[in-house]
Amino acid sequence: MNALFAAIKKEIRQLKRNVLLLVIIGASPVVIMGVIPFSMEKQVKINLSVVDRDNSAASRVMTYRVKASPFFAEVSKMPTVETALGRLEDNKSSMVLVFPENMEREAGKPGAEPPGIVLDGTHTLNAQGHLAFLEQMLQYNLPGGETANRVHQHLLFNPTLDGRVGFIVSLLVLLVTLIGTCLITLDIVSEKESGMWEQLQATPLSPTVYIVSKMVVFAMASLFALGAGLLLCRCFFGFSVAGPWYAFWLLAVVFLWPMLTIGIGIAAVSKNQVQAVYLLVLVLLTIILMSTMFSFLNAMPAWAKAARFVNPLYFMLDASRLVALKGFSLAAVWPQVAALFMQGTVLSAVIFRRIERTK
Amino acid sequence: MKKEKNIAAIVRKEVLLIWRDKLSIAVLFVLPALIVFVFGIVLSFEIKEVHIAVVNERHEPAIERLFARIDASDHFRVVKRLNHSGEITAAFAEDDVRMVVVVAGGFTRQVEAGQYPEVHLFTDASDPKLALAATAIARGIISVFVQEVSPRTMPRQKQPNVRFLYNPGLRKETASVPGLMMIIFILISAIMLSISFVREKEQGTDKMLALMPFATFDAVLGKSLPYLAITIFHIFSVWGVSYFIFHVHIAGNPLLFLALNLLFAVNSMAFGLLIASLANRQLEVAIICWLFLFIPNVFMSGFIFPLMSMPEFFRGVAWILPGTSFIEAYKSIVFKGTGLQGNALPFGLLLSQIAIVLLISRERLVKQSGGYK
Repeated sequence: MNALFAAIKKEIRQLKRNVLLLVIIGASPVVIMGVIPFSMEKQVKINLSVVDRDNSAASRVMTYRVKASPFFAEVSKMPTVETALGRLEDNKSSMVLVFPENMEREAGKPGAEPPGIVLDGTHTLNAQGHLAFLEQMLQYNLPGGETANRVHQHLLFNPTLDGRVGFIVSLLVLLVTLIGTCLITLDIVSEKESGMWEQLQATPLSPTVYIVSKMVVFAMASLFALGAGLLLCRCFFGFSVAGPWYAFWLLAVVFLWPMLTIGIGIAAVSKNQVQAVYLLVLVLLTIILMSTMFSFLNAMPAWAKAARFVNPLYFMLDASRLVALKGFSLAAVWPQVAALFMQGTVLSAVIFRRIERTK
Repeated sequence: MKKEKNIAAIVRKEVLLIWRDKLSIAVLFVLPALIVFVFGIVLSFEIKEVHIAVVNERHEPAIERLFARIDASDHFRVVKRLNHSGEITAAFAEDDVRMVVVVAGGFTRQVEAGQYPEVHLFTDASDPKLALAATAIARGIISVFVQEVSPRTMPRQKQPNVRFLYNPGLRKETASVPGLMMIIFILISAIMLSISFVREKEQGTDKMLALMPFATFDAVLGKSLPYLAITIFHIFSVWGVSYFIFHVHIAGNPLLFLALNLLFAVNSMAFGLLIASLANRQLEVAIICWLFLFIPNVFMSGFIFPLMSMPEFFRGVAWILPGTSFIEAYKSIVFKGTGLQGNALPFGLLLSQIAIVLLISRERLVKQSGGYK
């Protein structure tokens, strides 16, 4: 135990000496959490160009309905389809709605032409979402009265539909992941490169104790970034963890275990820092993109879905969304905590054995 | 003449250095194409098979038919059946459930009487875009179903004709490939160049380089050229993957596309030089690249959030990032087929960023190499 404390002391002293690194760690929550969430869309905003060639009561009512919707920030009338498409091309609007001639008069007849919608399909989620909003606004029965639509919508967990909160949690988790893993991997490899590792093997200090001390110090550094990030989010966006705060912190601590062990694993296989950096890019990119940070789990192919069982970030994101966004308690996320725990145990068993063997 | 010889000597030294490390070489050459290939398949930004739970408290067969209809669509999959509406909130904790459909009792009777039956959709709004779009789609499916089973309700208006420009089949690759290319260039081009500089600093060999009768410019150019060659290899390998595997065809001028890639890669390398002039340890380089290049460019470049929905001021901030210029220009060249004139802004921004970043890093680089210009 004394050896562990001595090693921790050494790491803290070494960390304190490197001013640039401390500045980076300290500044990262400010730069990342203080700027990026502001640029995220707080609410879905669609710019729509309407070409009304019918100019009837029905088409005008539909236009008003669209205008009244909070999702359509800008609804502008265009004289011709060509000008409307030109606006779409210039990125000034994201959708074009065309009411054909005689739409109201011929409604219900077999050859009648329905309204036309043109939109940019390059961003699939936006295209699908925007189309769904517009179609919903166009649900209007042309001749006669309107049937009451009695499908009720209930928005849980985020009734104001703030688009930021989900990504604030992702950013916080990303911050913890990147700081912890980069620090521990490159710190170990740089000691290996400078020959410290060889010297260490001549001392009675066991490599496991030495590495555990590094894990403790770097976990503290990432948790510091997490705390600073949470504090900033609270000041800037009024964001606070919906569930119990200790559950979120516990998750972060348990998550750091497998994540740091992955970093140690990379350090153990790479001979120099260049190799370590490249391997880190490969491993971290895979872990980040395979987790559900940017895409939906359900839309992935089956093999990619199965890969989540070896991905600590997936469980962390899943659990922290439940705790931080939806307000579930520790009892609801125990499967994720158990999975992280298991990943940590298995990885540690493999990697520490390899490290002890080199002694 | 002497200048060229100097540069050639440094290029040779750098190539030998890269060639010696076989593991790095393997990672370096294979990584970009591999990442684009794997995550072009995996990443998907579409509403597909959203997991939902359903509640049918009175076990009415007509409601079961409605659920079967919802399940049959591409957009939803029923993964869970709840016994009563008290279990709704808890249902969101498991199986990635995003929506709960609750149909109140009396559905069959209401439909037979020609009334519109009551349906409740409970959505997880923590991801608002998904929640709203999924609700709207579910609403459409439900009203079509009601119209079919209950002929007495009003005839429905015709569905509008929809045309998706630039991506008629709504293929998911068009959203992910530009973003992945951006990530790869910004990370790998920047990291590999700055690491090679900082490694010399850390090992002290930069002092030896400074002793040589080379100008700083020659040393920097000589060290950068091999990495530029690797980057050009990356451009073609990534292009090959996106063309042959994802069938992303370039609507505009391929030469312009190539120029864009090259410009962006050189831009990333310039940022790499800047980082190299600031950092003293490879550890710092890695952390700076991930935190200050990767995160802002991924979240603010329009890869995830459309630029149009950002607040005015932060849209300006986003344009400072090279990733924004790259993605905008990529989309307009590859999907819309616009020429150089239509892309003057992104190209101009990328060029001026290179100039500014190089100017900033020049002074420190010259100083570090002994002040020999």
